[in-house]
Amino acid sequence: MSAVRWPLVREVLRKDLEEIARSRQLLYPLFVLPVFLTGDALLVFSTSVLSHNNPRLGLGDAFFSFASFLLVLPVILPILLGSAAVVMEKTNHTLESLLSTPLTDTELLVGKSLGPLVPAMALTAASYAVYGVGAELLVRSHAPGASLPWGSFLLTGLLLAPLLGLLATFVAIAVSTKAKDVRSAQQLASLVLLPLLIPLILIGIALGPMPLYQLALAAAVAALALLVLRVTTLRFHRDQILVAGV
Amino acid sequence: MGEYLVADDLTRSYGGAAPAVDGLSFSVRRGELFALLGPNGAGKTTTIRLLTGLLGPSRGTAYVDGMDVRDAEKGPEIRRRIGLLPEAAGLYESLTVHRNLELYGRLFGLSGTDLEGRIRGQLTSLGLTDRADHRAGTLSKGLKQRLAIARALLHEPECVVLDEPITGLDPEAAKSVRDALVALRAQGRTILLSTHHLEDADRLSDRVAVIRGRLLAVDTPAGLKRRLFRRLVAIELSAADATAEQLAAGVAGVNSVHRDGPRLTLDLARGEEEVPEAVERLVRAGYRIRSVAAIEPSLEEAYLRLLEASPRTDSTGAGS
Ligand SMILES: Nc1ncnc2c1ncn2[C@@H]1O[C@H](COP(=O)(O)OP(=O)(O)OP(=O)(O)O)[C@@H](O)[C@H]1O
Ligand SMILES: [Mg+2]
Repeated sequence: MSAVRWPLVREVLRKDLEEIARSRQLLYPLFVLPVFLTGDALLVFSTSVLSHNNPRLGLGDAFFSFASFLLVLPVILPILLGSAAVVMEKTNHTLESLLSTPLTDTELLVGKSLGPLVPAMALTAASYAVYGVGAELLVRSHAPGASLPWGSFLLTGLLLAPLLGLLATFVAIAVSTKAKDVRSAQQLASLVLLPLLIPLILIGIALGPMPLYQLALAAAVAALALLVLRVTTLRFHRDQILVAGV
Repeated sequence: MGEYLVADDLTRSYGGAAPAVDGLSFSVRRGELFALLGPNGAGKTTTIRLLTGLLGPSRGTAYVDGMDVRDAEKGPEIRRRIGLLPEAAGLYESLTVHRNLELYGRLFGLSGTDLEGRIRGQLTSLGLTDRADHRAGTLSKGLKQRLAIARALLHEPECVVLDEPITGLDPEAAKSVRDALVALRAQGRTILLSTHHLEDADRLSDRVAVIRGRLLAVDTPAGLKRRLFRRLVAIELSAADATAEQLAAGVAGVNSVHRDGPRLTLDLARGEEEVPEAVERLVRAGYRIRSVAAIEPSLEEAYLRLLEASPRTDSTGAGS
């Protein structure tokens, strides 16, 4: 396999970002989801803070639970964008001319993966930042003295979330190369990923804010992401992409 | 004069029973304008995709300037040699005309003032300068096609491959594409195009291939006509019927007679010696003759006859 030429990958990425920015179908949910989920998480956390004389649920656990709940973002956002990444080139008939450029299959795969990953990760990081800062401010003003499990929070937001994002992107791209249209690709990718995501969040919450457990979960997701990447790479051939799903 | 594109037993199936393209062997010489003809579903687009390395062959192979399309390492170099106009223009409709060209230029490794200069040159020569900042999706079909052609030519490829470049264009737009083809040919580029416009193929191309799953013929347009029609003469009657047709067909040296309204077209084996005999028989039988004229067959007639004469393989045409 020859070396990836990053200037070409960057062109694919730039083009995809420009297209996302011009597509209402993609852009609205892209911003609506993080805003609502972060808002929800903060809102529910604020009720725990305000009623924190209830000793059954510690503030730290609540803070961590809603941070885990935000893991929906690094899965849903890549599904939204990644499912469209290849199949939209096909339904818009742009795939053939894109494949006629000197881009290699690997360069195309990398560019196509970064397209969903970059905005999804930026928005996920922003959501975690807003949630973390918001929660800290709430605690300082209404429950001074309580301390939040920042280690687990950072591992969730900075390690587990990006790894989940990678996994979701690779799945979405793989589905996108075989699909007939964007909608069916999104459905199929959701069908594959949601049964994985929900137990992951629940297990994460059940295990509680223990950094070791978060590391273990991250390792499991990383292994799975590598496996999916391997399969996606093996199946990502221009010939099959061009012929599949038409 | 080397061979630039070579199909060598080129075969491709899409998983169905019979291959879409079956055992094609022909070559396009450097600097020649070569037209690929064939009915819908004949495998023209498939052949073009195989010859440009977009699809892999199921059997046989193709070479571009000596490079085997099966060699993945050579892929980028092969694609750099070729400027492709796909069957669907395939523009990024939400991006501007200029951005569409810039993107492709960069993917072909161009940049800076060189790229800007080429974009301006293409926009000027295809009359798109005042549309440079319009979104590609707002262009008419003809302008989209021109933009797609500009995109294919931007990296100044040695070989230009166009899949039905004229289909769906108005006469003026079609003429501008034809002129562009003639200009490319004059620049010494190798050109492969598929088309249903047989008049264009006749006028523009050095050689044509007729395919229907398999290769039916490769020849110059004149050679193909000569091969299929030795000599054609049209006899126009006031009214022609099956009896008239049989009378003419009964003359020794007449290969076949084609009846179209009041007109009989005779395909003659040797020369025109049989014409007086045929005319005499018709007159004696009471037919009135309006005119007798030698006709130069069109490529279209040759093409239709070739398809008629070639048994259908079950690979194509069935059902669709
Ligand atoms: N992706 C595909 N999957 C399955 N079959 C296909 C695919 N693409 C083409 N075919 C089949 O291959 C055959 C050749 O198709 P192709 O598009 O190459 O013909 P064509 O000569 O370009 O036709 P047209 O003149 O209509 O453009 C057809 O029978 C078609 O149905
Ligand atoms: Mg075609």
